[in-house]
Amino acid sequence: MECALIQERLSEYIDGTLDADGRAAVENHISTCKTCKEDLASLTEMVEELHAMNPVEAPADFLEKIHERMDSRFSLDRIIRKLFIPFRIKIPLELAAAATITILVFFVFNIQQKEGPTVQILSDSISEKLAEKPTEDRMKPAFEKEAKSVAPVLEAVPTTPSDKKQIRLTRKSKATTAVQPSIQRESTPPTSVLGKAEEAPPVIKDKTIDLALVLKTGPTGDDYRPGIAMEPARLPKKDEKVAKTEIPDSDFFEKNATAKHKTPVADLLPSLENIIRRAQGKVSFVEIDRQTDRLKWIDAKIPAQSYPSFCRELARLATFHTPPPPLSDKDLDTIQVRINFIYPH
Amino acid sequence: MVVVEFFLGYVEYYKGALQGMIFFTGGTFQKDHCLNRMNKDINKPAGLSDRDTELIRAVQAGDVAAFDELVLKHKDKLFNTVFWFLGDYQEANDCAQEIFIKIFKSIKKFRFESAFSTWLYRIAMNTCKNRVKSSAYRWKKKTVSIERPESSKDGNPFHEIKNGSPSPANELEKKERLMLIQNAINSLPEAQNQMVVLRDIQGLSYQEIADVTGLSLGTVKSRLARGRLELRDRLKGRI
Repeated sequence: MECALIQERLSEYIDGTLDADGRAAVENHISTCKTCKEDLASLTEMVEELHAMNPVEAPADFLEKIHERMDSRFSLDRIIRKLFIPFRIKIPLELAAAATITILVFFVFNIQQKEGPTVQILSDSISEKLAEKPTEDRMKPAFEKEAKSVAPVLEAVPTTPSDKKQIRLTRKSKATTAVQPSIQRESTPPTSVLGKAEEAPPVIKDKTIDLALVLKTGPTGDDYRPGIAMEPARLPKKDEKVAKTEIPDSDFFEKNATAKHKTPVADLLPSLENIIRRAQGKVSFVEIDRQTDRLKWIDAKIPAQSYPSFCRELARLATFHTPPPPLSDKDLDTIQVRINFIYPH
Repeated sequence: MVVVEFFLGYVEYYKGALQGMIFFTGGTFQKDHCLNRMNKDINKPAGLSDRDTELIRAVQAGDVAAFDELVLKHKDKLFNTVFWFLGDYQEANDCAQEIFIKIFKSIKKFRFESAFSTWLYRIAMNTCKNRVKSSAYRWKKKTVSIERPESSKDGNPFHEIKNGSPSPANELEKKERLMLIQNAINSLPEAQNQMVVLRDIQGLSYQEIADVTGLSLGTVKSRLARGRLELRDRLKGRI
């Protein structure tokens, strides 16, 4: 026990910092204890060795290195201090940075969102735009120029006796055929709108269904009727001339037209939108020819089950250039359709 | 006023007589000014030389040349301390430079309440402790101990030591002994390492060590005692 106490005091004894009593106690103990005496000797030797060691000097370029580090560090520090330490600069800078980031995030977020409603906005604006166009531009007596009959796109069109007359008028003849304006069908549209469907390849999943509508425009006024699923007129060639006799007189339309309203191209888009909406679908894209201000195509997504009724409604509006293909995959929930518009000249 | 100032520069030890003279000759402003100067001299801590004071004031005013002089005056002392604490020459070089840069940056905070060397050692010890705790240092220590041979020039300050002995074998033995001591000191626990380095390598008094470390005198003594015994035991085992 005493040795342990003495061991603790050996260090101070060596350094000469013990008081008189402590010094005496150590000396008394080591005079009798060999181990502690040897410990003191070894400790003293070690301390003296440590004291005698030459100091390790700094390298010759020590000061130079310090200056190099200070110059590089302080220049950066100076810049940072200038930008960020004075609060009158720091706070506005931080606020500006925060505002910039917020604006950027908002802008990017907005752009992404715009892709959805863009078409709807576009279609609305287009509808308005088209509606504003003067009547004369919209109404083209295209049927006045059409001379020839076209092969029936739709066959097995059930007709009512009241329609027969009109159909007869438009029955194709090799010599002359007047292209009649579309007359509002009073009977229910034929289910065989999809009549020639067997020829068209069935729709497979993930493919856009292309539908082509031939738009017919009539003269201005109440005579113009929306197209119905009748025998479509053959699309005339560009330089094809229409004989005057082929043009029906305007009285014809007054007598036979049952619909009262006209459907110019401007009204086409809202009509299409209504059809798509009734089919519980959604317009996804509208393409317009800027030069002619005409609809080129409309992309829409509709439930697969609404496809037949959708085609029927389209047939009321205009004439299919090619029969709409049927859906072969019964498991489709939603289908993508593209309605292309063909404008006869 | 100029005459009074002149007197103060040369007769600073005759403060009592000076007080009387100022009271009779000068106005209150001069009296207060002179008294303040004298009080500062009275309270000047031991170890803070006049030259150090001048240099520090100059550095505080932005004089880089004064800083250079301060560095040159204290660099070897500091470097030696840092080297023995860290146990690696390159690390000590880097750390010592960092310490002086810290001194330069925070020189305006020095209030002349302690010796400059005390303040310097305090910063040195804190910087060294932080470095030892850093993961980069610990990783380096691990890899260096495996990879770097102790006899290589880099990192071995004892390579060029010439102790005056004519015998190369003796010289080599001395160098190996120094390397042994270095490794043994470096292997001590940090608290004991610090005490041994400050006392037995640097020669600081117990009070100075207490001022530097902020520990009580009793703690300094007990840690030093344990550190020395531990070092002796480690060196004994390697002989």
